[in-house]
Amino acid sequence: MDEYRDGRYRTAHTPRRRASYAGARGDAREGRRVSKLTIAAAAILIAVAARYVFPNLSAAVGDKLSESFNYRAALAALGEGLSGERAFTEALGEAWTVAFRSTPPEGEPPREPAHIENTPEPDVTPDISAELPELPELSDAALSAFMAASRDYADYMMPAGTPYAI
Amino acid sequence: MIRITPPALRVTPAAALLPAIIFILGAWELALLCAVAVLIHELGHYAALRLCGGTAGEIRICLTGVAMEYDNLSYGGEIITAMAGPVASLVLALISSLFGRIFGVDSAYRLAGLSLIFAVFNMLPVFPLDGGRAVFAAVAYLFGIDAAETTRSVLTAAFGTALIFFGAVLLRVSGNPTLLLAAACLVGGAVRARLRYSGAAVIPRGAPRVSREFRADAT
Repeated sequence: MDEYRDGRYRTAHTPRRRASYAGARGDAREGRRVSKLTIAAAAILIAVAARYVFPNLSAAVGDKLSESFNYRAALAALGEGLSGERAFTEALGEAWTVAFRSTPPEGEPPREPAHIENTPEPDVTPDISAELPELPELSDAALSAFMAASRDYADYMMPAGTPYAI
Repeated sequence: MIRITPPALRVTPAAALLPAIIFILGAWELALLCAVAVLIHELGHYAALRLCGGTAGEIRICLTGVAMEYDNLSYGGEIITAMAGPVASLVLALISSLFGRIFGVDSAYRLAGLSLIFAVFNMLPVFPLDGGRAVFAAVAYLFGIDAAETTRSVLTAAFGTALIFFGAVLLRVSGNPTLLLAAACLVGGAVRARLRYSGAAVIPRGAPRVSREFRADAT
């Protein structure tokens, strides 16, 4: 046991990782490596294509992940705690809350909608029971003048193409 | 004078999926922050490795993080090198947080938070994380390889199960799958590391059946 305390002895008597690439086993290993590289390259191409073909889907995935874990806020809180800008325990608690919170903090609306009971819809019909405003009384002369003007302009029509811009 | 020789870099096929995932989610800032945090973490490992007289092998970039193979380290050197990564992440976190406070840059705060998470997560006593490696080396030095193997298996199983359980609970309660995904990647990495040395023709009695690599899990 004592000889293993020496680094050089351990180096000489420790079995090495099987890193031989010669022979049939080496060819099989190299073939597996090439297939893994091919799969990785295909995955990259698919990811790039999906990002441009389905931009809403990739944005939804990112939003979903950031909704459950706001890593930016959690890391920033830890950094602020280390710098002494705030108490480290407080920063640690905030980072934990942001990263693994199950209930939203106070002031924010709950994630799930509240239970809605069967309440009748409100009546939106206007109330016409209110009294109509009193109209000023018209004198006989004014009424006669109005009726005469109506007769004179009964056949009046607006010219074609008159703009109605206000 | 320490001669710096860049180790070989290999990207696994699964890691090629990372650009696709980032492109779909549009999380470019998070990807950049992760890259910076992982780079500093691994540089911490590499600097300590070279200072302790070890040699760096291949750096492998996989889907869940970066792994750096190493060699020629004593148990003490292995503990120091394992802890150097989380320490570098903590230093980066402190510097970034101060930068954010002085200049008011929110990205610096986020980098600080991410580096802090890196440091804490990698210090868990679970193999193949840095904390698990340090515990393994310490127990092996004090009580022998067999005790270290047993400790490693028990801690990995216990913490892995606990993380998966709590990850499932958090997913059920808050809909956030982050912890569950991290736990699944951790357990998968531990199983993979365990199998990496299986099937060797001759294994000296008491030899550690573990992969010799430091990881920075970006989970």
